[in-house]
Amino acid sequence: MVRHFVRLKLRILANRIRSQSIIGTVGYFAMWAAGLLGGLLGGLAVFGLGRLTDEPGLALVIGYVVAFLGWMIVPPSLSALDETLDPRRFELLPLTPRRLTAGLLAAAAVTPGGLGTLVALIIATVGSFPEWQLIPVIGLAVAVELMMCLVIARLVTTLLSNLLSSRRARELVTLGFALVIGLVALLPTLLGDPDTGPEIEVTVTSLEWIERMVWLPPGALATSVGMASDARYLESLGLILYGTTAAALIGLGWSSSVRRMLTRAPSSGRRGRRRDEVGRTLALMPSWLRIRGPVGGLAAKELRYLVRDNRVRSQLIGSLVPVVAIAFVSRGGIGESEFAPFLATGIAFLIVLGVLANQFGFDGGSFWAYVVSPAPLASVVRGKNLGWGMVAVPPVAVGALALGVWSGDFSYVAAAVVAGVAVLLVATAVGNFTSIYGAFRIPETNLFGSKGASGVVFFAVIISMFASGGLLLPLAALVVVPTLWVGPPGATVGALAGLGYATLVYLLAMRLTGRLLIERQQDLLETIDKDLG
Amino acid sequence: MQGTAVSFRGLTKRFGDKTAVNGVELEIPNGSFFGICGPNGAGKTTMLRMATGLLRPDHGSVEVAGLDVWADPAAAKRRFGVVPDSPRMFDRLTGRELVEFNGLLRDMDPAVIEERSRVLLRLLDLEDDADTLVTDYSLGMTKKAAIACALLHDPRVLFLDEPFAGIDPVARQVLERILRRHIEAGGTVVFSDHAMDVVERLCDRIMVIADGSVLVSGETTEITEGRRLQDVFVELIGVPIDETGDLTWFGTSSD
Repeated sequence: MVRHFVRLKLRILANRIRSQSIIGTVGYFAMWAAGLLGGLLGGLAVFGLGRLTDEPGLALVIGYVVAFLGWMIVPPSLSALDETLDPRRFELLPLTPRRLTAGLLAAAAVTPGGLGTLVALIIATVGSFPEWQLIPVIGLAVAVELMMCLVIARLVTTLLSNLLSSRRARELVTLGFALVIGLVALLPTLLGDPDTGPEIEVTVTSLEWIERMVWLPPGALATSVGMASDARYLESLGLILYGTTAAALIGLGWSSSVRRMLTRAPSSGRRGRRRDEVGRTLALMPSWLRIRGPVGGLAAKELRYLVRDNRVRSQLIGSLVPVVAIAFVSRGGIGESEFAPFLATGIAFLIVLGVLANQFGFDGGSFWAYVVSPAPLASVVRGKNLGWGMVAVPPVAVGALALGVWSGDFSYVAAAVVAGVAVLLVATAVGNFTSIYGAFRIPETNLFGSKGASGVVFFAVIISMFASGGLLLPLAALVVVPTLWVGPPGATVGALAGLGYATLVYLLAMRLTGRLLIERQQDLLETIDKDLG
Repeated sequence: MQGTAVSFRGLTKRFGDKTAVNGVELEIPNGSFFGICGPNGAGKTTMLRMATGLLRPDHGSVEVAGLDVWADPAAAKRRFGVVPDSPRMFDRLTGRELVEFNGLLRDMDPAVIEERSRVLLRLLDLEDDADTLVTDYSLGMTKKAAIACALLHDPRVLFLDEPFAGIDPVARQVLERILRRHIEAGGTVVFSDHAMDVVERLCDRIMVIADGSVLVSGETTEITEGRRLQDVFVELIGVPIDETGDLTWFGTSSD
């Protein structure tokens, strides 16, 4: 039965390539190449860390634990892209939970992440303990670790799906992601350079902490190889059995959660009859502040979606997390300098990058409503931008202020807020253009709904990121040069000039995207038709 | 063939404060063409989902072809086929591949799968599009593909949730013939639909459900007593005499 799942996965992969445009196909292969490259680099990093610190066993423990945590956190955000991993697709078939979970596990292995992890584990383990007689132990440890990674990813994904259609759980996952970022960022410090005096104490404490990870199942699997290398075969076998038992227990938990998932009602993610907080908040706004007409209506709709759409909320939180993580882990760097408030501009960048490059993907079906309404289509884009501006500006302002408090210097808070708004405008302009242009130019694999077009969306986001980065260079120059010259007053003036530049970029992009939106309206409707049909 | 194909015993499902299905007791004899009617939100889909192992009931049990669906869902699913209202399918497979993988995952013999899928795709007029991806199918074609998957293993009982919605008249006629043939061979069909004329024409037994409770159930002729099912249905459900009175503004636009 397992082979049918693998064949199904391979068939879907082949069909996906067949049905995609050349750009989509390239993007798709790029994801596999990235998985392979990531695996190579990850494996070499662990191997190198072991060499540098002369602690290959501990480095391998870290590698195995990080791989496990990575699988626990990353796949739940991506699983929607893979239909063979959705247990509900099999709900009509007479499959016992055991057979279903075995099949899903096999399908989960056939991914760029699965390939990368396998490569990373082999390189790291063989590199750390290059002894031919250890091959059976290495094979077992790698196989069980990979299985444990796959199983924990499936367990977490299924549990998240069970929990309020994954809304709050996804938010927790995002926070968990920060822990992994923090762990990775702190690795050099944890195993740091013993020559730097003040960090020696931290290193010793950290090594003790890492040694404790040996008792975690992934750590135990990594340690089993070291034990075998020291000819402590019985202990090695015991650790592998421990890891295997843990993997089996996780598998049982997963199987049970799959069974529950398949027999419960789908939920919108809203609990009970919760009243519309956004509507109430908008009602409290003074009437002169309320924007009327289609643009105001669209903005209000976007704000309502923020409350109701799990993915939007998780992306919003996801945008805050890296900035907070950088501020915390960059000890002695920008996070503690007077320039810390400028990190808040990253919040604006990430919010837009994560959302607006595929802004219609969230509600492609709504495009029908836009088309049949008398509102100009350009107003749709303006309304969406306004809604997201209202969402993004407060975190930027609060973030800049909080980073000022964190660093103990408020000199650059005002400049950082203005610069953040400028970044928001530029990134929004690029996001609008990418979203609409992408959907127009490659309608077969449109960005609308991103159904089966993960490669293209990945590509679009990367292109959007680079384009935004390029257009932000003049803005950065406008802020940095006067800052270096006359300090905070120069930064404020520079940020205001940057805001002017960003406004020009935004207005130009709005003209282009508004025109494109009207010109290719029919293509858009066709692509949406497919996703809805 | 006598005996019971499907039996609901005290079937109940609540969603928060709302009781979607309220203690339904029902026996559907073998060989029946059974129609479930009710207004929107009456509980028809919830009932069918509970009957087919897709939604766990809060109380009660369901037996299909002699097997308790919730005691052994996998075994029960071998004996029935389902066409849900909005089927979740692998839309990056072609129609032919979809049907074939459906058979493989049911542990069917590949030769049997090939033979049956060829016949089903031809009968459902999907032969020419058998190598097209399901994602490129229209709504009606997708439904036909789902029907082919449900019929492939020759189930004893067929559950269909609004099977005729969105499919063309020719396919509708073919589907009706297939379902009648299934009945003639001793099978049972349970389906829900809003089209009263279809239900009246096809079904020898019907049930009308509203607010999760069974209003009436039995042989079609006994329930209609010579009247149109549409009239009986409206009478049972009740309808406001004139709710359009508030639309005084409607039709006055001069634009």
